[in-house]
Amino acid sequence: MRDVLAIRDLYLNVAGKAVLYGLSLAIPAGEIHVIMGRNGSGKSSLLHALVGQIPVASGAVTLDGESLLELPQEVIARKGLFLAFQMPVALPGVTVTQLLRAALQARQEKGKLFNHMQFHDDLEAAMELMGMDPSWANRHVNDGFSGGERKRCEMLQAIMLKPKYVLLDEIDSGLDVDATGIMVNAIRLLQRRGTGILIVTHHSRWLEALNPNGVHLLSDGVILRSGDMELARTIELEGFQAVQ
Amino acid sequence: MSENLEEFATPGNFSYATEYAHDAGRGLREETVRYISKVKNEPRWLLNFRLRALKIFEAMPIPPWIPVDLAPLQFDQIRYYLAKDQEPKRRWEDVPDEVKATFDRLGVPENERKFLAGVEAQFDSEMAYASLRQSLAEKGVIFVNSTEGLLQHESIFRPHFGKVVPPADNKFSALNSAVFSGGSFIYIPKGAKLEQPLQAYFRINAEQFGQFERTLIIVDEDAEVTYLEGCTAPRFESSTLHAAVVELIAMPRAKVQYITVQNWSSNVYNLVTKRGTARESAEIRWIDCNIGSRLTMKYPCVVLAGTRARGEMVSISVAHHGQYQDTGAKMIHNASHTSSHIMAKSISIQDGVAAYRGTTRVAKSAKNCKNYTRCDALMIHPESVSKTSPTLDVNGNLAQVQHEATVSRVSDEQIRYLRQRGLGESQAMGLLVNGFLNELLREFPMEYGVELKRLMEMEMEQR
Amino acid sequence: MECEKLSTVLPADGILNAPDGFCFIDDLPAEASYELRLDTHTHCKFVLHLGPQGQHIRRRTIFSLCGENAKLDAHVLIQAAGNQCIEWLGIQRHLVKNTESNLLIKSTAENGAKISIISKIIIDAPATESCAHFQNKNLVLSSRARVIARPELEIHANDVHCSHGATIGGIDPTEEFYLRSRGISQRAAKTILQRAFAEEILCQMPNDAPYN
Repeated sequence: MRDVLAIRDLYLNVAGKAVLYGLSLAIPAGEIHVIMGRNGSGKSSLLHALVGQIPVASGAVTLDGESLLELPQEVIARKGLFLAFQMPVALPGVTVTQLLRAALQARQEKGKLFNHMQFHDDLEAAMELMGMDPSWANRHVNDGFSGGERKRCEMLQAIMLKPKYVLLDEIDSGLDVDATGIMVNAIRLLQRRGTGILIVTHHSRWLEALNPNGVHLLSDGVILRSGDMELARTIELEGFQAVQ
Repeated sequence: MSENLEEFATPGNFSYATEYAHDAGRGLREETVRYISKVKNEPRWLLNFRLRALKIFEAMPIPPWIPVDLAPLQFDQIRYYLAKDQEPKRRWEDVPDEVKATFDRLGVPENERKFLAGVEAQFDSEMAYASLRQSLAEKGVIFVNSTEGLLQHESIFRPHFGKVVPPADNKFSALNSAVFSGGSFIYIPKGAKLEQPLQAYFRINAEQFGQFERTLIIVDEDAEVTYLEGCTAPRFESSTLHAAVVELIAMPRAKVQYITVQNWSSNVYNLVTKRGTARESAEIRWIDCNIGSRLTMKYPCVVLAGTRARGEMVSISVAHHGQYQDTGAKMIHNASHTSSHIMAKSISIQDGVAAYRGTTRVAKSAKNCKNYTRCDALMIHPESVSKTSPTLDVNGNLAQVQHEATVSRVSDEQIRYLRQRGLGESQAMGLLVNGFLNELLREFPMEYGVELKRLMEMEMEQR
Repeated sequence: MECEKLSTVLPADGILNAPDGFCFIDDLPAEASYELRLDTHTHCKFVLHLGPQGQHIRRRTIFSLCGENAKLDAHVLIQAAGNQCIEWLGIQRHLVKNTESNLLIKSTAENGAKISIISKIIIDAPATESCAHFQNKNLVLSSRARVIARPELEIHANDVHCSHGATIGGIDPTEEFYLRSRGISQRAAKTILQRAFAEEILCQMPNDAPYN
């Protein structure tokens, strides 16, 4: 089975309202795909449904051939699906290091010893890539973080947990120019590792450097149109109605 | 006299059968007190002290503010004194599985497990203790039990004994004063600074750990000591009433740290009076962790009697289903330029009740005093209960007293976030609960901190 | 908000079912005991100013949030002087879900006055998604004065936002020094700081609010 995160004919209801009407999309390993759409079009709901936080009405979601539907959230996570939340919650008292260690230990096979040395080396390298000074390791997760800091913390976790597929929910919002550059580098690193990447965003300019494999317009509960960066530029310049 | 001890056993919890020769009998009468004093060969003054305390105990009513019905205690059915070879024993087969599982998780050594579980009355620590005894003796440190302290070192301990916590302080200190046995009497000479903490554990024998332990620690000028009481592993206690008294005296510029980890079995009513007097520029720190027992009432107190003295309290309280943890701190500022700091965190699980009761008092004559108190409560389940009642009592305009309290819970959103990171629900709870306790866990010696974290993770797994 | 004086609207049994949209002013005599009940979607304010008149003043006040979406904002200023003894015993009780109460009590104690503030927040089990906050700031102005504060919490529901705080202290020496460095006398500086302290509550009072 080809390495792909495949979504087929997904129907989704949120609070009694139909949000997705048979959405289909494929994110192959190592590729970058972008979803754009109006506010309320269901972009975030789609991502939350993929990681098992919202029940699906019907359809299929497979990760490398294995169905994810009906699986508990933590099992989906351990199978290699990571969501960078749009507004990640604070975990007072839990340091970034403690969170990462607990998450990695949860993925470890029973009986294997956790390699603390390797963990600290990896963390150091990842923090450097994300432009974080060493004090970040002891900060309490998202506690008192600005919006941009929360996004960077999400990306740090994506790098450390080595998922197969990464879902980025508006990872660019709240970032200044420098931070955006760091984020682009991080996404490139993930891509080089063979991670499949799905980005939800409102803005296209920062995507130029990433040269995504596909840009998709989510409208009326389905992928209405697919294209490349040209589609994204048109949406940004002329608005959604220009492409609908 | 053979006994049927079934009535001591909480239904579905522990049960055992035993038979023993003679003892002080049940119930508390003057003969009981005389018997205890005689067995220990005590001098007349000490017998009189006990008898006076007995009268006070009989005269005092049970305080009306005890939050739990004490009827199950049945004062006239309790055994008030059991000597070394008289402690009732259990069979290992009767020790509950979850207790055994906790021993496993905490890595408690084999020979200690049987002692802790009440299967053996004695833990052979003589070897380890012998070398410690040697190095302590060289420094002039005295570390003995209460009987030895009052009989062999009367001139050192008698002047302070019963002064910090007088028998009439409350009904249970009166009870303790009448029937006390075991506990640690410690004297640290001037200038001596002990790097290693002294542990009650070193002196384990059945008499050391009794229902009515009496501890007195005197730290002379410029000396420093840390004392450790209890352990994280669950302690089975056959007796239902535990009324201990701890008195600390910190002479000028001395520093005392008293660390307690209490994990008694769920049949125990734990009513403790702990108080320290801090002289000029001295420091007393109470570090307290209460996990076990059916009811614990404990309000460690520091009387700041000398200028520039300092008192601190760090408290962790975990109340499970069926438990009532009523804990707190008292800081009494009787001298100028004194400061105190209280940091209390509590966790209520299922329908457990965690209550904080504290007092900060500043006397009129005490100028330029400062106090800060912070209470944080974490309520895990909808049926959990949290209570806070601090009292701030300030005379005069030269003090600064501040109190803050917050209540929080583990939110669904936090659990969802951690599940998306691959943690199961109970693992997520364990991480969040330890996060809540983090800054206080650091105050405990490392091994305790590690064990406490493991205990909390186990707790969350069971829910 | 429209204002109503308790002396006018409080029934004989001391229990007032507060209608929505009113600010209640406690203008009652020295000893008073009453309960304000807020039902569904009732938003009320409450103000009390206890001043340095009368020997012994006592208030027993219960605020009951009985209906969902009830909300109370309460401000109390207590100023004791001479040999006065002023006691406040208050309860913020949340019986049902989605209720909110905020109580701020500030006090100043001069000469040989004694102030006791015991205020409890009780959250019943059904009162999920409720918010209750209590703040008590006490300014002691003389060496003979005494303040006792007891903020209490009793919480039976875990999905709530609850906090309380209390401080007792004298005039902040840094603030006093700052004013004096601007040439203001010590006496005047103290008066200015006292007024500033009380201002937070005074500005909540309607202009014609009586001074108890």
